[in-house]
Amino acid sequence: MQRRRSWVAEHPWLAGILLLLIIWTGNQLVPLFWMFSMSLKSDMDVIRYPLKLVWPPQLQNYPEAWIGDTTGVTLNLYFLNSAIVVPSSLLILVSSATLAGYAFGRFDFFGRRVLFFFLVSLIAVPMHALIVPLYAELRAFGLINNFLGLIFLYVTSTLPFSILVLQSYFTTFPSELEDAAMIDGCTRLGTFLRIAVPISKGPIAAITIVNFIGMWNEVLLAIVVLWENKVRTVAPGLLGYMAQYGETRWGLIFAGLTIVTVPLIAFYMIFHNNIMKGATLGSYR
Amino acid sequence: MTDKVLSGPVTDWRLRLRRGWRRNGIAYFFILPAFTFFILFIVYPLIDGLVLSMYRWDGLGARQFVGLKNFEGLLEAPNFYGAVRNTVLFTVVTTVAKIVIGFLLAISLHFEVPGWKIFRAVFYLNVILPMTAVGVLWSAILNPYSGPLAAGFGLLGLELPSLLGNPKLVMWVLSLIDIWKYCGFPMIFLYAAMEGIPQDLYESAVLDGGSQLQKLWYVTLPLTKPVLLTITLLQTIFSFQVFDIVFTMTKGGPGYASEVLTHYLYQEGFWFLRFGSASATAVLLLVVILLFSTLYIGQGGLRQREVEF
Repeated sequence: MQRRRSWVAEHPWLAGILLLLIIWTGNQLVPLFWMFSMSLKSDMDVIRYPLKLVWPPQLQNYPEAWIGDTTGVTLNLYFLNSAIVVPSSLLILVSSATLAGYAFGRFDFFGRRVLFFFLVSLIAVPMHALIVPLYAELRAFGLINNFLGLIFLYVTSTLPFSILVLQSYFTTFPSELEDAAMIDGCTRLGTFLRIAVPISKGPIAAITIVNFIGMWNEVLLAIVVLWENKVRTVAPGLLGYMAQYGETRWGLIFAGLTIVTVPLIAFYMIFHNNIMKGATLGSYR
Repeated sequence: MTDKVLSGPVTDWRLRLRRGWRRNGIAYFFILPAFTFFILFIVYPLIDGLVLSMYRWDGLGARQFVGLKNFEGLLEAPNFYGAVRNTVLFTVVTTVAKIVIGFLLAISLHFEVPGWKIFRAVFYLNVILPMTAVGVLWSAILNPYSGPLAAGFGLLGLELPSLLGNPKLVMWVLSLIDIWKYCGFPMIFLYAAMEGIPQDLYESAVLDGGSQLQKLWYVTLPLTKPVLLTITLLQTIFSFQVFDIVFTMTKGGPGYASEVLTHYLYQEGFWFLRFGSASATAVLLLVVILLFSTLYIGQGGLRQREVEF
């Protein structure tokens, strides 16, 4: 305790570091606070007093931004759409990645090396460069403006890296438990489900959380596949405010931005440790 | 007949295959779902995209073979040259700036001043927000008529110029906003790398009478160099595909002053319905990204991204 107190006294330049950190915190947070405070004003007050807080706070922007009867930008619908697309993608991603990662980590099958090399080279292919042929293909399948179309693309774009993470996890994790289960007469599939899946909870959680953020924020694939208003997802959907109102209804726009960012900030605070750990795993960011 | 087949090395080979199949054959079923996705949504569109780049197609009628005309067309299109130049500028500026700032932030955190964990959390926060939200927010801040910056300038008796409407400035402004949002990303990588440096290396540097700056130069920097290289390549790959910020804030404007490759590709394909020309752009984009990705993988970038769970 005493060492702690004398710390800054011993190294006065640490105070300088602390000051720099505080300045950078301000730089990162002030725009967000400003956004939130503006959402509590009427459209006129945002333009008239862009630097002042207006008291009492006005809440009428929020229901309008959320329901959007009068605006045509139906944020509540976009949230529902994202809440369908993203968890479905994650479910398919995690199940197919765990299966394949287990196969590459534990089995010595014919062609393993060639297929694994193929898998690694897929990481180098950016999905965004394939939007034109993907659009043509999904249209032929009838999957444009269909959630399934975007789900397939989200799964495919996140799979190679997720498989790699799980493969390396299974390669380093001792297989004794699984061997014991198989000696006791458990089948390969049974061993996978009862032993391998439970022991890989850590990497599965990291993959889920990191890709949740990536998919929730994704724009380009989303606007190519789901371009009709009724199937739009949140990240591209909120651009509708600007398209519709440009620079007139700021109060409404800031309320919309707050509704979009606050749940993500809450998610970040809850899963902060997992996100820090898995920050380096995202294939988007 | 059967006797002949069952004797000799052929039998051995068959037996091994059969035994291998019984033991490991299920692996093929395990990788089947993943590889179905890969064939359908990466391999097939990759081939189709290469083919399409040599056709003229509006997305509906018949495809018309034009050879390399699409590529020639790109070289002649004035906007394409601008898109390439803007993309390269954006990539270089944002990659260098994010890594320099990320490195400085990581070092500052590494001193572990009180509350450093909260600082680290705050510095990464903007990375996880959608670029569309951040872009709309910054459009409002920079608005020359009703924004807070304009009001601040007004208090000083000055007039805020239109930053996003100025063709000379717009790319730099977009770069700054991108840096503001994403500099926490390299910070996390570099912080993790610095955390991994054994403490006794610093201690021996102190014993040798090294100053803080010397510790930084002779211990921290050389030992984070591999990660610095990895993150530079990764950041280059990300920045080169820049789309969201341009789509949100400028749509390539004013004029074509902030056009970038991915946005050019999107517009050619889905606005002008020139699928052939869009595919030719995609091929060029693909070649550049593949080059950097290969460097990234070959340099051991995937290994460095492994985490302890």
